[in-house]
Amino acid sequence: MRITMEKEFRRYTLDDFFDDPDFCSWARSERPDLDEYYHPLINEHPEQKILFRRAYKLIRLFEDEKITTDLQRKLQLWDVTKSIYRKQNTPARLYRQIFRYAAVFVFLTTIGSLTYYLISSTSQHNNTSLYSKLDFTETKLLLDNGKEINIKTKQSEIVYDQIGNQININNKPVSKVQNTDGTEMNQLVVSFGRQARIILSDQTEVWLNAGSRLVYPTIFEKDKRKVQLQGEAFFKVSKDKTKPFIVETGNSRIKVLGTSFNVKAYPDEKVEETVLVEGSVSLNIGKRLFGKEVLLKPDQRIVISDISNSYTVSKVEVGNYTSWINGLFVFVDEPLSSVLMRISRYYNIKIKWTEDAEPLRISGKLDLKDDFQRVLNALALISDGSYIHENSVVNFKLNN
Amino acid sequence: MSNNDKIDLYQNIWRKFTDGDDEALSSIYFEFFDILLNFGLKYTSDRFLVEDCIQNLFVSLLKNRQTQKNVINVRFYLSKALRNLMLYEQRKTKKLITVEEHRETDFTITYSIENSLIASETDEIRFHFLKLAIEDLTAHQREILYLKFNCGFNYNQISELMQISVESTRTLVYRTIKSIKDTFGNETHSNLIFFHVFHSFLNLSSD
Repeated sequence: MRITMEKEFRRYTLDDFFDDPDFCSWARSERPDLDEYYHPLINEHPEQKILFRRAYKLIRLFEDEKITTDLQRKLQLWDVTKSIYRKQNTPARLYRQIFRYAAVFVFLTTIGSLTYYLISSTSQHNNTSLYSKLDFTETKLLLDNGKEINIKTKQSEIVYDQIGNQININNKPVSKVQNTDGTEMNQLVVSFGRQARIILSDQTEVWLNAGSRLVYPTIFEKDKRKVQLQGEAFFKVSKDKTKPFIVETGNSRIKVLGTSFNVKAYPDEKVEETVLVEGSVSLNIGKRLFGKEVLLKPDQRIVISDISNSYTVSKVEVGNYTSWINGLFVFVDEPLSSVLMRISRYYNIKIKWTEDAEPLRISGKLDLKDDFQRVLNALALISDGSYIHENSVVNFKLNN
Repeated sequence: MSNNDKIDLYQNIWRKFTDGDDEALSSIYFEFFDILLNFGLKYTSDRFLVEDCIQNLFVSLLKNRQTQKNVINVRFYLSKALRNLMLYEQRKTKKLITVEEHRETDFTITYSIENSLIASETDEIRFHFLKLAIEDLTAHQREILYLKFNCGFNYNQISELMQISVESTRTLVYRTIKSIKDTFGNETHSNLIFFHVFHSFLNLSSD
């Protein structure tokens, strides 16, 4: 085969080179074994040298930047892939088992595969499972070097410098970050009844509302800035076109370049909500699994349902959604239950309400500097309800 | 190992998988993940979307293993399936977005060759020449050259992948190469410039 090709080689046109799969593979460096063949060949046929080099270089022009994935991530994605498959395939497998084996055995395998599924699905999210162990009774900063710092103030401010060496809490330097390469995760947990503002090492500002968690690295990765959020936060992301800023919540992945927006994603609420103030953000709903990409424009709000991942986009007055950072809650046609949930988190009190309060929608403003009794009085007034506060639980009901 | 040996090797692993060995598929997964990721990134800049689609691809492989016994070239088979999944996802998103009018930007095939060279080459002249060479090409033309030169697919495979006839595939490849050549002048005068330009792009030492 080689011999016939050599005969033709002298008459090769540029297109002939491109149609020769061996030549193309060799040019892509996939066939080092052909070096022995091509090197002498080109010396024997100097008249073909120009075309030969041209063909070679054109092929090399299409050599792309090779993006590689670290093994850890590949393993993680492979686990997810298998568990999705297992989840979708369990019923069919079970039927087969029923025909083949005794019922007891079916029972055992079900438990087995369920347990396996649970184990494999928890192991996918190292960072998430890490923070689900925490509670919200105290505001605290958990550093990547394992250190835990409790913060006592009602409003607190945490500032990282740009190289991640120095952290200031309420203007006091607290820690030199040591013994880590900076890519390990830190967490800021803001307890009920508290708020905090944090400036990350890329100078992005994040306001965290009561009962929220933010997981972030001291120094961001080279190609992206990724944080995880549980709860409510307002982000003012510093511009860096080369590193998209990504917020992961329970249900979506929000990707931005430089912009400000509010995210509300409390695990105990049925919906997630993102409001865009300026710039643009894209949301990947459902994250990895059959995720949809939606682009938000300024003044738009997206509400994503927890269960179905269905969503609606509407135009809103953004000030109403960000006013909490200035100590003001503004509600526009919001379910009473969600307002009560916010108040409960903010003042750190348990509130129970009767079922008939669930569908009621209310609008209004609440000044959070007021004590919670005044706030509840105001709420009772506009919703025509009343409340009893005993044994540190508030029972709220509507008057009939 | 020659290409054909590799193709045979993967085909064997593939056969193990269709015969019920999930471990075989996992070795295919680890072998091809980055290849597929890089391939997918030519169609979108959204890495997460590509990862999603790779995931969906392997879930559907696991589900339908019986129907996939006759795969000859694993890389081609996976690439084709991934491309279809991605186009499907993009079309779905696009539809969603047109209905609600969220998005002005259109989907274009982004070649990382542009990105990587822009990012790494400091020499503006090189970038300028590169742009000259490819800006006149349509997305289709860029895709076809990529499939041919980077992925090493043959005309039959490219035609199957892009869903155009083998004849059109050939014609399109020839026409595209010709149009690149034309960008640098006609055959007789182009040698010097053509060389100089490509030399600059690739930073290859002329021997």
